[in-house]
Formats: sequence, structure tokens, C-alpha cells
Amino acid sequence: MERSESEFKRVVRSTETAKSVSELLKRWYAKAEEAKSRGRPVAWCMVSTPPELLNYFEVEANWPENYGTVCASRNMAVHFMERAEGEGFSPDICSYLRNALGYTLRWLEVGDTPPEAPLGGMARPNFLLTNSVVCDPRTKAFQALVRYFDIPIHICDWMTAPYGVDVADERVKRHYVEHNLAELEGMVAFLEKQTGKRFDEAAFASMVANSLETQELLWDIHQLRRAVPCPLPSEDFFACIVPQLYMLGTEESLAFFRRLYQEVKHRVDNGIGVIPDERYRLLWMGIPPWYNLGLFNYLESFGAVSVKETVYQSWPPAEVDTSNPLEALVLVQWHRNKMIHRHEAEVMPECSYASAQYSAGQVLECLREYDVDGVIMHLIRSCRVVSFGQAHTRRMLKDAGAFAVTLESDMADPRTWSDAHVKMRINAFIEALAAAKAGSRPGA
Amino acid sequence: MEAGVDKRGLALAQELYEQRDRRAKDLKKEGKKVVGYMCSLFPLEFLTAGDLIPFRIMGNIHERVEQAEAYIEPHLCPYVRNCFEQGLKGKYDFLDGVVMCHTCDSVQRVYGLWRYYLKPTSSLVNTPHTTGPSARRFYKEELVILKEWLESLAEKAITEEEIRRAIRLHNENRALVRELYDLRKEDPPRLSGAEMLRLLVVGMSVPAPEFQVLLKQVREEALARTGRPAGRARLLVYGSIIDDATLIQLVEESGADVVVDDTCIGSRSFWHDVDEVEDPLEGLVNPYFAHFRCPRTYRGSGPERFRYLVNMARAFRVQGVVAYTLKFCDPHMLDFPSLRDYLQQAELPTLYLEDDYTFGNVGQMRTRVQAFLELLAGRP
Repeated sequence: MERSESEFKRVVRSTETAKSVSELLKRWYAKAEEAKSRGRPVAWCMVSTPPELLNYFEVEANWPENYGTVCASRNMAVHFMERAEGEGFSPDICSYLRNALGYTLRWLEVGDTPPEAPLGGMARPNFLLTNSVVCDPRTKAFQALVRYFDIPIHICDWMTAPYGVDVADERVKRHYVEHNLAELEGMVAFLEKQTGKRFDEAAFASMVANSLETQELLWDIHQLRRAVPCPLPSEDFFACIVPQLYMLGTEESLAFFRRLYQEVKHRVDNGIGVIPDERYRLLWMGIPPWYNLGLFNYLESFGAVSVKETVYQSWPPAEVDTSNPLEALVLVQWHRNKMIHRHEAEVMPECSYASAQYSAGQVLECLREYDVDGVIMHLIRSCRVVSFGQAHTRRMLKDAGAFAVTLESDMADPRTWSDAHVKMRINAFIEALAAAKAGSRPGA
Repeated sequence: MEAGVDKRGLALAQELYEQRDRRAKDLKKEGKKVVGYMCSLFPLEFLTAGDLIPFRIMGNIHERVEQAEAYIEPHLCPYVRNCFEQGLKGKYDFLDGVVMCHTCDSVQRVYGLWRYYLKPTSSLVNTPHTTGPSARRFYKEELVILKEWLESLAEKAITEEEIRRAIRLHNENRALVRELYDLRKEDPPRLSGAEMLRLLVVGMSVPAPEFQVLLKQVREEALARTGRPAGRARLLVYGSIIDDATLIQLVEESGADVVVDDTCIGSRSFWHDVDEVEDPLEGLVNPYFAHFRCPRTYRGSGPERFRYLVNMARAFRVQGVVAYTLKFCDPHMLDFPSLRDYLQQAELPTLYLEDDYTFGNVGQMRTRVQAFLELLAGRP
């Protein structure tokens, strides 16, 4: 197996909490195989499947999106993607899903977890849970997976109110909330059938309460990141999305973010940054290249710290009544939907209750709120929904006199990566930032 | 129909196909309002009922994307990029309103750009991706919201009776289209695939009553036709949107007949009537959402979801399939291996063509089509 030759392969993280994620990841992946061996159900899930529900129904989950990042960072993604491409799946399909489809084909060839699979692989699922939030491939790829595993599938068809709709209108709110609640109840019914466990809202309420408290902590952490110097850089934050996206509602996730909050707060209170001399503050737009996160350390070698990102973000906490916990989850999503509408329309950003993707208007807000000097846009070849809007955002940044640079590669497919391309772009970008700081060059 | 006083039937269809926006612009001068729409999921009956002129937003395969490069990333749907290019060039400035549907990731997102850069008077029909009871209820409410928006655009109420009348008219048109498709079951088919596509492109660019007049003229001509060559290979074209006859012409000039299709500007838009039920909006749910056969809608996971295609191929005595997909089209790309294997099991040879919408590699395509036809010729 050819390993990546990139000099950006290895990442060094700054906070102890982020560093602890690698051990968390190993434990987490082991749980699914262990559950399988004990006859407990395992589901493959796409992000926005509520981890709170999985936790309640005692379903261990493997998440193909996360496994794509795992395989990418351990130089195994190409192996699985090539297997999928050999089957006829286009190389233009989402690299996470190509990885999962290829892994599935290898699983079937071996009849068990492929020996080369990192972290012990993903367990053979008993059923599939996905949703239509964010993008089309999430339902289509799982539709394709059913052919290989021949197992039950449930799709939660959550809807997001588009721009032009008056989200202050109670009728509109009812329209979306009623539907999304019905969809969530449909998922509950599916899980009851698959697990044989009856759903008890009162017992579930504590998990939702944990989840909401965790999301509040996340919001607070993001506010702390406005500090100069930056206490939590992007490479650390990207590690922390594991307990955010996949473990919400669990005591472990809540404890993790309490720890992270304390660590970040301590850094802010004591003026501890990522590097001794923080000269440039950057915003990262898009999903990162998981196989080459050392890129962020390369930036730091120039005194540039990525202080914020546009994906997996948080919103101001929503005040919801958890005595009706299913409705509470839906109302949190509605609250986020409304927040997105503060900014005028260019693209329909992701809107689940667990994370958010920023639009161009929010990027401009971030420049002010986080004292950002420049934006790095990662144009991801196989992810259309996260990439769509970057050209528009670039135009808006230009109008605002802000600096931006675009790096073209992919989130999990390292075949798209070029050290030379990245270094050339980054180096020129840093030069431009330096000239601007010296007062000799206007924004790009 | 006013245009081309001497022309009727297929000759008129050809003329209107080449000057697609002529009728809509003429009617606008007469004081009508024109509403652009991008997808077959949009219920045209509302426009007919509201005396609004429908005009399908399409691309232009002869024009490469240049201006839109600065607005839409390169690895997005090439069709959507091209449509936006046409918008940037002012081709759709004459529209009084634009409606898009949550067809797919690209259309949904270009809606935002369209609003921002091109036309503020716009609306999105937020079409769900599954067809369960909640999704059907949601979609129906979306139709209610759409109707209200169109009423504000038309500055008049759109009554249930007007919608029912429009449904009857559009169902008549669908029946006429299916009749013309039936004439292609014969050998030789009484209409070529290119003629059919041009006719349907026109049908999506003129008011429904005018389309009906044209359909009847074409039917009359087709029934009177003689002397066409028989015994050519019979093909089904499947896939992403095809809004230009170039590909079909290329196939037919190579010596085959495209006798049926499963595409948006094709059978998908005309195969299912609107149920004439008491609540007209309820009747719109199936043909424009739940039963509309586009891979963007989840309709079960097994390979049996492609059975309808094989049934169609059998009904039209098709010998092979040309599957045309646009680059970066996720729904089609992710269906591909399952579709390929299903068609293989059904012993339907299939030629797969992936394109950037502009048929930039016409020579290569022609070679592949010719090779495919030779393969078919060699089969027992």
C-alpha cells in the first residue's frame, strides 16, 4: 500500500483535549465490533441521525462519513475507493461514500472485516439510517448499500426552509416542524421495530438535555475562540467533531466538551495561543483534507493560525422544552433554520440540529467577530454541497476587500492533492497578507 | 397558434424549437405574465389555471460556460451551470417570475444564486426526497404555498375550478403525447426520437392550449406518413436531462431509431395523468412528485426500482439502451452499477455516455454509438 508522500501528512495538535481524540476514536470503533459479537444491533448512519436516539435504543453505530476521514488519515481511502470505482461508482462521487462502498465490497469479498481496515473497520450493519438533510448522495449511497447487505433502511426526510420563505410566519414553522417531527417519529418507530425496545419519551429526555447542554458548551467554546491569540485552532476543532456529531447526548460527549471548554477558557484567561507569535488569523472554508491536516501546522510556520471554520458550526442555543424531547430536537433544528435566514440567499446551507455550514454572509460576519485576516477556501472535488457557494463567497469577500485563497483537492481522496500546488498558493497568500499588514497592498 | 402562419405540425414545431422563446415573448407583449421553471417536478397546471405563460428554463449546448465560472464551481452539475450562464447573459430577463424545485443539490443551490443575482421574484417548491405519508402531506402544503405565491404574481385568485380545468387540459395533452409515443411502437416508428424531443421542448415553452393544437397536427401528420425505412435498431434513451436533439439525431443518423425514452423532457413528464379527484391539489401529488421517475426521489432500494424501464423497453420492442448521464450528477452516478447490472440481467445491451452537457466530444460519441449499433447488429 503506497503511503502518501505529502509533507503535510502528520498533524500536531495544540490542546490536550483534541489530542485525546485519537484514543477516544479507537475505543469508539471497538465498541461496534464488540456490540456485534454480543448480538447487539449495529447501524451504519449518516450525520444528522440523532446519536441521542441511537444511544437510547442501545444501537452501536458506524458512520461512513467518519470512516472516510479515518481511512483518509491512515492512507487506506484510495484502496477502498479504487475498489468502488472498479465496481462502476464514479470517481466524482463523494469520497466518503466511495470509501464506504469500496469497504463494503471488500467486506463481502472477505466475508468479514477486511484485515487492512483501519481501527478494526466498520462492523457489518444490521440496518441503515440516513436522511435527506445536506445532500443527495446520503440517501442514494445508502440505497446502493442495501443491494450489497440486503438489510432494512430508514431515511429521515427532514426538510429545511429555503430562502424566500418567511420563517417568522407561524404557519411556515408549523409546516416544517410538523413534518420534521413526523419524520423523527418515523425513525423512532423503525428503531423500535429493529431493536424490540419501546420508546419512552421521559427516559429519552435526559439524553436530549445532555445534548442541549453539550451544544451550549460548543457555542460557548466558539465564542472563546474569538480571543487573541487563538486558543483552539481548526486542526484541533476538526478532531473534536467526533464527540459532537456522533456522540451527542452521551455522558462521554458532555464530559468531553466540559473538558474542552475548561482548557480553552484557561488558555484565553492566560493568553495562551497555538504559536508564540500569531501574526495572521485565518478562516477555513470547507471540509479539510483529512489525510494532510499537517497543512495547518505549515500555516503556523508562517505565524498563521486558522481560528475558525465554516463547517460543523454551532448556533446560539435554543430555548426548548425538553419534556417533549423529540419535538425539542426538531425545534432546535427549526431555530437553526431561522438563524440561517438572517443572511440572504446564495445557497441553501446545511441545516441539521447538530451542526451548521456557514453561508457567505456568515463568513463576512466571522471576519469581523474573529478578527480574521484572510480566508482559505478548500474547493473539494467530490463534495458539491460544501463547495457550492465558494465562488459567490469569493466575490463577496472581494467586494469587502478581504483576502482569500482557494486550494483545490478533496476531503478524503489524496489523489487530488499536490504539495506543490498547495505550497505555491499558501506562500503567495501569506505574502499578500504580510504586504497588507505592512500597509503596502490592498485586499484581493 | 399565431407563429408561422403557413407552418403547422412538425414544421411549426421545428420553427418554434429553433426560436423557443418567441411565443412567450409575443404573449408578454400582449400583457401576459411569463413564469420560468427549471424542472419537470413543477406543476404546470397552476400556470395554466392562473393564465400565466409557462416557459421552461433550459441551457444551450452550443454555448460553453464562461460568465458562470465566476459564480458556480466547476464540479457542479454542468446543466445547472449552463442554465445560469443563460441567465447571466440575460436570456431569461423577460420572465416575470421564476420557480425552481428542490430537484437536487445543484438546482436547490442555484436557486439561491438566481435569487441573488438574476431575479428576485422567485420561489422554490421544496420537494421531499421520500414519498411516505408525511412527505406527501408536506408536498401538498408546498403546492398550497406555491399557489398563493402564483396568485400574488398573477394578481388574481386561482380557483379550484380553474385548476380542475387546467388538469383536464394537461391530461388531454399527456394522452396525446402518449398516443404519439404509441405510434413509435410501430416499425418504422411514425415519429423519430429527434422529432419527438423537439416537439416536447416546444411543449414546455408554449401555453398548454397551443401545445394541444400542435400535438393534434403532428398526430395527423404522423398517421399519414409513409415510406420511412423499417428494420433499424430500436433504442431507448435513458438518463439525465436532454433538452437538445443533437444526441438523438446523432444516434438516428448512425442508423438506429430512438423509439422511446426515460428522460425529463420526455416520457417522465407525460406518462402519468393527474388524478381528477375532488381535491385538485391532491391529484397533483402523484404525477409531479410521488410517481415521477427521477432517481432524485427514493423509491425503494432494490433493483426492482428499474423494472419499469425494462417493461418500457419490452413494450417498445427495444434492442438496446443508450444511458446518457451528465457529469457530476449524483443521483444517476450512484444508481449506475445497480442499473447496469439490472439491464444486463434483462439482456438489454446498454451504451453508457457521460457528458458535460455540451456534447464537446461529439466525434467520440458518434464512434461509440456506431460501435454499439454494430454490436447490436451482431446479436441474434
